[in-house]
Amino acid sequence: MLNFPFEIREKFLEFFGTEWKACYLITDKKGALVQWGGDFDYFGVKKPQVGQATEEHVLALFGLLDANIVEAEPLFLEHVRLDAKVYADILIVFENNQHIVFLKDSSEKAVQIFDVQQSRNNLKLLVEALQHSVELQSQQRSNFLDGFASVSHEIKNSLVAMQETFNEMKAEKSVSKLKDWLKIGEGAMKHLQSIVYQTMDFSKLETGNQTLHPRPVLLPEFFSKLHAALAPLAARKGLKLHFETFFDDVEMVSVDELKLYQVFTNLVGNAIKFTETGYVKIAVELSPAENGQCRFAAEVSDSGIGIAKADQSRIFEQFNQIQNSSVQHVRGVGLGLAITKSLLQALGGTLSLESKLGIGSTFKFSLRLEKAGSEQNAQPQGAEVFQIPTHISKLAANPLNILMADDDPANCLLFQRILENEGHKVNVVTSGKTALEVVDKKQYDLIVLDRQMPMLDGFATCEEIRAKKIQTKNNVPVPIVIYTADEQREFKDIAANAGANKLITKGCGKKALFEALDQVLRESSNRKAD
Amino acid sequence: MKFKVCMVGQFSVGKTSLVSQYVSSVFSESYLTTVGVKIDKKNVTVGDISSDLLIWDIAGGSDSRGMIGTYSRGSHGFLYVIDGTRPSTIDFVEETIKKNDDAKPSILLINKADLKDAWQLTEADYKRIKDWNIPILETSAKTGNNVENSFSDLTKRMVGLHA
Repeated sequence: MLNFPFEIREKFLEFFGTEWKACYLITDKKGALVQWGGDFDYFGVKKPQVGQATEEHVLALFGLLDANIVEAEPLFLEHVRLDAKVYADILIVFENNQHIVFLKDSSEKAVQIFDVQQSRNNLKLLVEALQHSVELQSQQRSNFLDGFASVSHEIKNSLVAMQETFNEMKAEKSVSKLKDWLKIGEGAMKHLQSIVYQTMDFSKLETGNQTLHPRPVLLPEFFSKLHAALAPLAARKGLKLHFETFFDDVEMVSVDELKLYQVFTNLVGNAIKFTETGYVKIAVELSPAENGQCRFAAEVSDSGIGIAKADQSRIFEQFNQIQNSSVQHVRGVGLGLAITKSLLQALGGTLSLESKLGIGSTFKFSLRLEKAGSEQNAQPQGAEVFQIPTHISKLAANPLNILMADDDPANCLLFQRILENEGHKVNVVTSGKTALEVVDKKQYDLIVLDRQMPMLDGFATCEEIRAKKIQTKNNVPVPIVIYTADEQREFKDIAANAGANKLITKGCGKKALFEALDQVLRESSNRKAD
Repeated sequence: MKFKVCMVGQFSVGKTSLVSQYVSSVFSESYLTTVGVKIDKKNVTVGDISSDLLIWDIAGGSDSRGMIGTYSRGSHGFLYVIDGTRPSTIDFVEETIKKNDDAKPSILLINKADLKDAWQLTEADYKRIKDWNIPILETSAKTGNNVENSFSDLTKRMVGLHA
């Protein structure tokens, strides 16, 4: 039973309707305590004293008593937490120039509400997260479809251009005109190559299939090479290409040169693409930082069309292309900046953009690089004279008998022509199965297998050949080279486990191809000598 | 001087975490919903004026019974809080600001700045909150970024009005 004076108890029951753990305070108009009663200890209220400000006893009352007078209506606050485990409903009534403040325990109800509210809120958060995920997937799917359509369109365009070029070439009798057609076809082929490589690059970056290969790089030479590659592109459009480099006591750094080169060619290539008049400028500053590192800060700016503020946040998204009438003629699939951003992330940097529509753009990035000491000499740069290695050149003592297995006729023809030009005999088969039949009937000096063939791929074919213990005429295991279009880290190990002497990449260039074949043949020849 | 400050925002935006960081320099990753209201007290000195802040951490969520208005009675300033990773938390604050027509000193906190990479706010969202014409701070209850500033900036404004 509430231990309140009768009138107070009646007032309490009028509002709360039931007896409960409670206490009350009565204050004058100014908030000074006049009377109190009930279970103060339970609510953690310090022992009241007449004349003291009621707000000193119950923090929650601060500011409320004055507000209550203005409102002239009972003020009810529920679930006011008074300490770790005690909640109270607070009722303030103003009558007869006095405030009557009731504190009624609501701890049990607060616990029940907590359980329900916690579950409800967690569920709502989960639903929000799921909704967001669905929206994201829908957007990504939409981006992918847009991108796929864009890539397909570009590929189709290039293929049509090449086909039409070849048709014209078949009918052309004039040699000089034939050369012109060849240039056109080459242009279409290079564009196709660029689209495919970009898509592959991006795929590798997205799946994390990229490793860094840092090596000592002499920066003045690096930028000289970059200038030589990019100046003709700028000159073709009548643009000025400026390089401003400042190396403060540091010229050699350790960095993945290929990736850094690709970052610059992407950014500068983009700048040239979207600039009709004026300039493209590359500014680089290298300054020492702590712990033997240095700060590499770069900007690529142009006087091009600029990018609207609304488009700037999307510019780095994959397959995103600016919708702008002045660039309708510009070709591409919208992967360049996405690739550049991913490359920089791999290198430990970030890419930012400042741009004004109609004025131009500036892309900025900075990297922390290790200084490379003078004892780590950079590999010589500059033009290299390619000499066909001993075992492969026409001057080799004996022409080689080479077996090649590849299901792609174009690859076979290309490979065959390259090696037959050096005087070797190349026998081409189109499957691993046929290769296994053929090696039983004839001896070869070298076997070259495509990695990706239907039914029996290059690795499996190599294993089978090793199991058969096929040898050359010099009674050593026949050298086997597997070549692949995809650079995947694990392929080297798989090839070695299958018994291959080497794994090479398609499109590595004639020089790399001949060097690889030469190495394999030399090693085989040394074994014979053993 | 004594000021009553109300923390208002949708559930799980970080109101309790911000108060906990400010008052006790403590942060916890686990989410525990607030029931009703919790009141904390902290003394803050701005310039040479010492003030007691009574910080009302009001439970987030729908306010169908108008309790926010009741809890806010007699308050001197507001810290409105939204979650940068959940643009939907803007709606609740916008509704509350519209109902609060007495123009008391207020600051909008965009919380969870430590998760800026995961923020979902669009340009349209930023425009919408800028239209409220109240100062905006990006905060992180986790790292403490701008937490102290939020309360001292608000106190300066409240002192300015009442001094």
